[in-house]
Amino acid sequence: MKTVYLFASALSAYCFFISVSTSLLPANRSFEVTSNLAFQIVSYDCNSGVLQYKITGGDGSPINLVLPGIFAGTVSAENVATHTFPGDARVGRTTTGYANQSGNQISITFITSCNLSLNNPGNPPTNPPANSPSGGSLAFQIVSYDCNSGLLQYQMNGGDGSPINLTLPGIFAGNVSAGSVATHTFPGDARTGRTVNGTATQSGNQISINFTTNCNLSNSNPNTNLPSNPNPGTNPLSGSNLSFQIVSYDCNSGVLQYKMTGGGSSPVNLTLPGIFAGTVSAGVVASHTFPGDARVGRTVNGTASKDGNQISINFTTSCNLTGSGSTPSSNPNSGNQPSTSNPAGSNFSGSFDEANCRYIRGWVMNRNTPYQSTKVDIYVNGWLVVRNALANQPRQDVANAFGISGYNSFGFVASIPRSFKLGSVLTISVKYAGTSTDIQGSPRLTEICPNMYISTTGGGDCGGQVARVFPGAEEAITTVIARTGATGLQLNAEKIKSLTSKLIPMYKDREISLHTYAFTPLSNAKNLAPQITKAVVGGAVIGMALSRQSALPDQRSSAQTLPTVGLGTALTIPLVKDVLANRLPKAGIELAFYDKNGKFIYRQVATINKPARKDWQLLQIRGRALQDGYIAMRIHNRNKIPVYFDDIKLKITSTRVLDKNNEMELNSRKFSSANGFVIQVDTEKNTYLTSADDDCEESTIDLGAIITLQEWANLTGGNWLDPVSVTAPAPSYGYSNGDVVPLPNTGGSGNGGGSSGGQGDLPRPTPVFTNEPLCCTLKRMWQASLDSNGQPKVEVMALATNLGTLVFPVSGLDCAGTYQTNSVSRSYTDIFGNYVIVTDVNGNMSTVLDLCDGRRVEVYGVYHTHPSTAVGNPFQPSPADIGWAASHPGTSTFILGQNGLMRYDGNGNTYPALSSQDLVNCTINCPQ
Amino acid sequence: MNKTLLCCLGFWLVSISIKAQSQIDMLLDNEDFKPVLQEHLWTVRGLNFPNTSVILLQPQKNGLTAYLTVYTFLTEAQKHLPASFTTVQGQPFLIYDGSELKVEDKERWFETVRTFIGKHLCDDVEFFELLKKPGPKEIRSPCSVIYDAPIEQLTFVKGKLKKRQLVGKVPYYQ
Repeated sequence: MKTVYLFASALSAYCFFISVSTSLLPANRSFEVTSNLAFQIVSYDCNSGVLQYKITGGDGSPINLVLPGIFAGTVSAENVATHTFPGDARVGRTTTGYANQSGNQISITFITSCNLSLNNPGNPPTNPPANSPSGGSLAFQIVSYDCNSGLLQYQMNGGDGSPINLTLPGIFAGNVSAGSVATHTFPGDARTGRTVNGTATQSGNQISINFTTNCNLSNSNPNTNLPSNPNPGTNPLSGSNLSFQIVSYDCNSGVLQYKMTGGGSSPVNLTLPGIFAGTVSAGVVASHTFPGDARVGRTVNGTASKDGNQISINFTTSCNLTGSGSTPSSNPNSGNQPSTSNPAGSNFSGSFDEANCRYIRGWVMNRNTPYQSTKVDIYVNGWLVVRNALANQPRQDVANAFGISGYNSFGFVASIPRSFKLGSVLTISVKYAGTSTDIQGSPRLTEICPNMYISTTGGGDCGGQVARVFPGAEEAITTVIARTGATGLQLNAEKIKSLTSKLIPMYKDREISLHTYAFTPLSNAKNLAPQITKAVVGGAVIGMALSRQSALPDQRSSAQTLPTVGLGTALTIPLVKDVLANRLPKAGIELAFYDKNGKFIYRQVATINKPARKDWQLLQIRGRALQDGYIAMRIHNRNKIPVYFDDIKLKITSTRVLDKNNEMELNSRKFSSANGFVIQVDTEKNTYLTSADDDCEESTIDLGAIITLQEWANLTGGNWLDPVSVTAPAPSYGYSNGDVVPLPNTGGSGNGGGSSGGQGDLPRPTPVFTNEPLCCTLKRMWQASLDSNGQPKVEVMALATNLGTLVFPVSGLDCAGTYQTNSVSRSYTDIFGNYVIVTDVNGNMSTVLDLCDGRRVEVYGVYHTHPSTAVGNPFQPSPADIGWAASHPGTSTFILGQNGLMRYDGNGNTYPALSSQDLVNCTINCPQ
Repeated sequence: MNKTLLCCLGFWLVSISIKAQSQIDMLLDNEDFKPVLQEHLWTVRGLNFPNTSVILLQPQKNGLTAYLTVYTFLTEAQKHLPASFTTVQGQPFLIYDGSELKVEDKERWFETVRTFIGKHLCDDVEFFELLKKPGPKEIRSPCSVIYDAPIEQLTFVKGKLKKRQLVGKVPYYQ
């Protein structure tokens, strides 16, 4: 059975920006022009972790600022922003980012320390000096230790001024700066006698750190070991045969078995971040189970040390990790490190870093054009799903590896279409665009991707696509009768009455051709098919015949020569006519068109008639879309008599201007609708020729653009879908829509539910401020904006304030006790309090929020989601959006839509801040 | 002299209003428009915040295109002065038909419009006036809801509604 093919070309972005030229207000701030762009730390308190920073200088245009883990978006010069570092990052946390304005980019690097506020690490350029003054030999120093409280204070001294990678198992792992005092409190049972064996590495030099807690530890310098291994990272083993061995790895279950070998019988200090930290004995097999999202593509970089010697352990989980044998640390993760090697015969370089059920990522570049982004083609299970995807995500590590400055857009990230998730491992290939050359690391396998549509994979000769396009089709698949291949679909009212496809994106002026072959033998009794062969009217005989049909039916034709049994009189003619009429099932194909907001527009039907009793009858619907939207197709049979369908084909051809006259000639009947869909129906077989060659051509399916049918409504009417269930394609942002992830900080009520509960039951929400990375908050907001089916549900709003990020509940009581609830196109902004515009003596204006509890917070940014396309373009600020921005000076206002994050101002100007790919990138490490 | 000018101005306004009013009356009598109107009224009555309906009329060769949406801020009406206004089943409507471009005394006309719909919109005009005053101050923001009102485009050909769709913006007369 041939199935359904989508020849849709690439999805056009729903991205339109309008600007409203009329200014209601004078700009609330002006920009100084021409000064140099610079990052400046205004203040930093290492006790509270509160950092205040700003960008200075520049040309007045928006500045794209990326401080990983802190902020990513556009800012204006001189606007002071605040971030609070968590407890373990208040000292020694290195931040490396950049700011870009009008093509000019500066790097930003600073390390949190208690004197950060005194220094100004951000004055341009903020890259660490290439030759920092040397501070002498690197050394670990215990500043103080109180064995009663377990409080340890320690610091690194000396070195060359560059960040020090410090690993103290059970205490700390990360980068620190020399001279920064850090603290750790040992638990009660470790305050004496706990041995710590760690390392500190700076610029390739490493020292061992070994001490044992005791009441005399303070004021001592436990760093008695001399620098042991000047370059341990590149030598898997020094001085012994100590090695790390993976015994087995099952990428389906995530179970890893490993052991240390060699090195004698003394304990080995093993650190595998996220897996294990402590001492092990050589030869003892240990196991660890990786969680679902880490079973493929998770890189582990650890160390094993013994007697001052240390080896590095590096591996990346993959389905062939098991077979890699021992010591994967030799270079198992080469695919994750920027490599300067090229594919043979080209100047391309690239790496396919990670693939899982949610997304893939990697990088690619053309060394001949190092300041341009390169394109890739992405295949899933051999199907080309994305052609010419531009790898333009920031990958500074790649730029560093190739010595490229000022440009780092080499990365790619793509979400995996839900339609491919059918309960099996996916094979994903990334090739240089337009070539058959895989990039390094390609192909990769994912873990088993849970079935998103059906319980079993459907049959079909072309990869089960019929099951993907027609959810539930596997129940209708039959091997009894097929036109081509071995299987067809059998529909009858007692079993499967109809199959409705998922929504398929459609664009204006695309031509649509839906056809299938249908056949309805006269009986479905085994080996016995009553065949009406003749109806001779005008004589006295009506012929009705019964014939025995072969066990293997002729799949090409049902016409047979049959003996007849006479049945006599003209009086029976009406009866026979009735029998004939009833014997023809009401079956056919239907095509419905929805506009881009999911509103039903039009439906067209082509039904079987008499020829379908003799042979496979071609049913065909052809048309052209007059506007953007979606189509859904349905095959149906409302009678008990089975009807077989086969070779269902939906062909969508890209833009071609139809010749009106030719269009008329092509079709014997024409139905048109002024509601947006010109469509023609043609059931004449000879008017449409199909080529067998294109039955299994590659299909292009737009990422994230396919929506499953949620429910049926009004089966007998035109609209099959619940109008509210279909609005727009839902972007994935690298996670699955519908995951139930409560909004953070929503206080008492409404974690994304659009509560319809009684007002009296609703507590007044309590504002909760957090400091998680903003993109993680945005991710949660977007998730909460969609329902469990990925459809628009409610707008969600958040504020960036001096106390952290404050996400609003979608409903609740405001300070006055009035119940407010958001909707898919409406955000209440004052559930937590009232906004006050403060003008200082110099005329500078800012916005504060007076909370219901009397506290006042400064508002820096306002974010709200646009899950609905009801305003035409979700990225377009509505007049109310613009009005609100204008009336809240001193704030940056953003819309989070399906295409990413966009800033807009009170004049209606828009500034793209983060693309959806940017969001995918920055939410990869967000907690699930 | 002044009285004459005022009289002329008043005549202009009355003639403008009559033109707009006649078009909206024709639309209100249209059988195809009635269900659209009821749907719209049902929607705006469900909004528990001030709002005013907006309709822009564009005559075409064989019919009429109408744009139907909602304002929530008074500045929207100030920014786009209507040609006329009316009330339909208790819901205020601002009407645009191009004749609003002929309004010369915009401030005076806005005050007239404001008198009619001021209570039906969030009055951010007064807020901005206060904000412009010199000196340090604190002013409470008057508008607490952001409503992304849909904009419906209705195409009538020979009296029949031929097309109804959501669009991105209202094509105000320039």
